[in-house]
Amino acid sequence: MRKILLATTAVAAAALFGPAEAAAQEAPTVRVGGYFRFNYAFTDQDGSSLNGNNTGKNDFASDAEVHVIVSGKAANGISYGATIEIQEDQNRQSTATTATKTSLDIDEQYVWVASPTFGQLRVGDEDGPVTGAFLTGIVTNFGTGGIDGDGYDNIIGANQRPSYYAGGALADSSKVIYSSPDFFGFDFGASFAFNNGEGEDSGCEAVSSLCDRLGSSPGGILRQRNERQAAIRYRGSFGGVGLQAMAGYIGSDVVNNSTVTGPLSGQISGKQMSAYTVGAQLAAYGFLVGGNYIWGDYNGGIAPMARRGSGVGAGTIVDDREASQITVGASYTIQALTVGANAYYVRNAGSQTVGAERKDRAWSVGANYTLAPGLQLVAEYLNIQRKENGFDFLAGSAGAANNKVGTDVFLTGVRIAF
Amino acid sequence: MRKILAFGLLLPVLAGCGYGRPVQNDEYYDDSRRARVSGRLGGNDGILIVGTDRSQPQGGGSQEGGLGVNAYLWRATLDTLSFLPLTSADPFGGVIITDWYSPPAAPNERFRATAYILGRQLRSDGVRVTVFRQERQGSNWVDTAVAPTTATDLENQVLSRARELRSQSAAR
Repeated sequence: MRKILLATTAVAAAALFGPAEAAAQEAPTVRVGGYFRFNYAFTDQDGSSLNGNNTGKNDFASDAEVHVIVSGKAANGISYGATIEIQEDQNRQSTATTATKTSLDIDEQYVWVASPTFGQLRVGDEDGPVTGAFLTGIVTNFGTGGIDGDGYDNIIGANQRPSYYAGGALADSSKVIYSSPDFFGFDFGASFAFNNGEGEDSGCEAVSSLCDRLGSSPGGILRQRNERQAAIRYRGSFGGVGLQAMAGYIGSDVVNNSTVTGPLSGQISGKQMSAYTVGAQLAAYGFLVGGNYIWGDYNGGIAPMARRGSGVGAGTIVDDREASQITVGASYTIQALTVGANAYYVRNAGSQTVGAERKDRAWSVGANYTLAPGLQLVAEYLNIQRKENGFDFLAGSAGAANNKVGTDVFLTGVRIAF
Repeated sequence: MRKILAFGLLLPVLAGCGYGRPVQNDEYYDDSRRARVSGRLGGNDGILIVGTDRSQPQGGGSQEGGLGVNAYLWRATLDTLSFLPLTSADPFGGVIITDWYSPPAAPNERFRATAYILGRQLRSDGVRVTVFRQERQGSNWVDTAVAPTTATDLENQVLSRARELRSQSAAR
């Protein structure tokens, strides 16, 4: 043990006082970047009518982002910077008086400090190493991203859109992230967040279940606490073929039940969340081929789930199976044109009060054409199918009808970035 | 399992020993929609609001009107040798040749210098100065030895001036 402690101390000392890579000082810069897109979408979905309201299939939709990017380098070689990403995110206005569809909010906001020898420390609202920095194998460089693209923006109904794992699958909870330097192609990272709250303040005025720091609550709430991520990545090149591979872990505790727990108590009890993921991608001669697999104790697109047996009556938890998702994709770039396809297959508990497994699958083909650097035309087709026996996707509750729903989206548009 | 743990411990040790290569932010995945668009209008990553654009290769090699060599070393060498009359200055090849010059205090000896700037990088070995000295013997000028430290002193002077110019530029 003493040896380990000595070694740890030596490493820390070497990292802090070791020789720094010679680097020229750079005065800080502030840049403003942006993104805008305009899409036409043809959407053919189940459940397009409700209570006498009928929706059509055609629509135009736009979206925008503004990024403020600060960076600089001190004379001692320490780099630093900050990023604030402003976006339109109120795309499904549920309450007319609280926000409009064009309201702006903050996506990510963080500050980072990097040492050439010791790596980068990033603090703020960000994805983390697994669902962010080191994500590997999910090919999204064609169309608008295919199965992780703009298609979902046109689909009406929360139960019509699959919950799937991709970049940014977890909330940008306020966290601390460490990323190492690159050692012979390997780098690694880890992050920690006390909860899944993002932004400033505590999230509540009076103590309630809304508070970010919520530790336990009557009846239990399926919300993350102590979110942990760790990932390792390898990048290398073999005979002109670029290889990137990663393995990662996501874990978290869940808000406890402050009243009674256990089967038939009438309350649900959250399960500790743990997910493991591996991904790899190859790039050569204009081709990019990738795959990603994630599995573990979670539900939907990485969220905690309740423990089987808790709850009573119609709310009894009967399904807390492990989830998994496989994602594959490929693209080919020739000059200004990129074409590609991707797909995922998600298996999870879905509705936990229904015993059957939920199976979501989606596939997409698409292309984009670069008219000028930063200006692209896009076109894409997305097909989605959701299935869970005993769950009515249109009603959002247990039922014999609508156990299988699907959506087709074709979209084309233009996007610009500066 | 033990091997995995050992490997995990090895990486922080390597970090401490400074074997790592710094990973730049653009080597990380970015889930913003902006990141999905290839290229940027105007070529730069965002519009510069505050600061100096350093997105071009560092060291001034290519950002100073097509100089073939490091701009800071080039200017520093011109500054340092400015007390000598200039015969030739080739900014692409990085060669500066001065004419003979006799200091007023020593009219019977004269100097000329040749400086070579060896590349685009601002490096301590990026400049080489050669000094020639002649003494008047009767009506002829005869080559004589130069103190070996003279050229080195001039090179050091050039490097100091280059560092000065670089830090002034960085502070802008």
